[in-house]
Amino acid sequence: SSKPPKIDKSRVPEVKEEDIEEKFIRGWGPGGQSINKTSSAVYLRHIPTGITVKCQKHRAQHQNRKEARLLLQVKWDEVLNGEDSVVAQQKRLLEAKSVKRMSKAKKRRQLQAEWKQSLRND
Amino acid sequence: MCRHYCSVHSPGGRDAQKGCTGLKEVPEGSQSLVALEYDLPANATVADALCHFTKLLEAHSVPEAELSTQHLLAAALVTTRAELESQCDRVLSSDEREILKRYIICRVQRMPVQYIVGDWDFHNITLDLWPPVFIPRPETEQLVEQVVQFVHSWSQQDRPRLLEFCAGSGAISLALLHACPQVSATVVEQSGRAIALAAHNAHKLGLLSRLSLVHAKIERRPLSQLPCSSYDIIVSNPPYVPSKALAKLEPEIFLYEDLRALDGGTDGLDVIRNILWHSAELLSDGGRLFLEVDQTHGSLLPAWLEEQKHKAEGASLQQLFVDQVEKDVFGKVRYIMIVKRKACDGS
Repeated sequence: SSKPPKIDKSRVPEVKEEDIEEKFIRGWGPGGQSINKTSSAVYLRHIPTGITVKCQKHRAQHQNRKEARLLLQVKWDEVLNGEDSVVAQQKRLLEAKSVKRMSKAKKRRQLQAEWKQSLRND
Repeated sequence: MCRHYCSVHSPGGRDAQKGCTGLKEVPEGSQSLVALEYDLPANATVADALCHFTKLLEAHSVPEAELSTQHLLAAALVTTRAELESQCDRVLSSDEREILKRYIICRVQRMPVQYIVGDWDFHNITLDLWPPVFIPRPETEQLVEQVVQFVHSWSQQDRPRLLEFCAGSGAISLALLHACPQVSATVVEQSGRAIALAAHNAHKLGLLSRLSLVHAKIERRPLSQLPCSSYDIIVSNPPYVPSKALAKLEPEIFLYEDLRALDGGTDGLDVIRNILWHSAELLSDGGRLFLEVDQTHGSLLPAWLEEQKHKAEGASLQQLFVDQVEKDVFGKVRYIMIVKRKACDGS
């Protein structure tokens, strides 16, 4: 089949590190080696827009920090670009694909019905 | 199986006491006590297990009760915490209930979740973890990132050679070998158990071919067993906790982790000082030492280095210069970067 239509990512805003306020839960005391906690939740606030995200999916704080930045970018893209956001474009693509699949199946059923009918006619 | 009860502080209750007094057998029908059983009924769902064992851990004053239960349940079900949400109504099998029960009993004894589950993620890799080998902390992921940035800026033709002191499970070097394909590493570790774990993790990650392991204790005198005579990058998360702070550590640490991985002596700098002596000899010209340190070391270490440079025996240290002192994401001084410069460049 032909190449899949591309998603337009040109409008996705760039999240600058200096525009992010990052928070963690760690508790008090000297920290470092003297603490062993499994909580690695990351909270980000995008200062210019006020958008906040939280990520605690991963066991590694490093991975939560990376994912939180991605989530922030996705959220900002949706707020900023609405219909033109990457998420909205992907949704439309999936809907178009399923409509195409449905009409293909419908067409196939129609052809099969016609074939069966022609067999009965013979 | 007899029922065990844990007495919980309940205002007005006859047996009210603060915290948990441990498990005791109590006759059936004692209404003032909360029954906290380790055996779930056969029709218990994921949601039931989460609720029940969170309460149990809380009753035993175990920190991170809910989060611990989530991790242990996910491990018992061989899934992830994220998946648990969509499986709320799933009934646990008897095997799963048995495994979870054992995990919870360990957690009640304050065993770290990472040891119970047996592995943990660090930076972009997964490491197996065996008690009492030191469990990597999130601050050390930032140390790795700083080295990664330095490697990315490496402009020389030769592949950078990395040396790690006090490697423990191998977390730092293995994360770096994974992130930077051009790096080769040597790790030094005094504990036989830890170095076996580092080798195990290296093998599991397919990184053993780029790693040398040296089982040795870091003291003042030079190490004879190193495969290279000079290294471009030396990195370490050495024991840096001042000895007097060890008494305040939570049970997860003092009961289960090797305290040799934490004890840095009176000021926490005992091992770090030796690392500086070694680095003066082992670093190539322009090479860097990346250290994770205690928050008090931001001023103590540069002061010590400066003091040594003026002594006769401190001649080799004159080539070392503190380049950066950085804070961790919790706002505490945590990282010191030292550069070796042979020729005097007027700085």
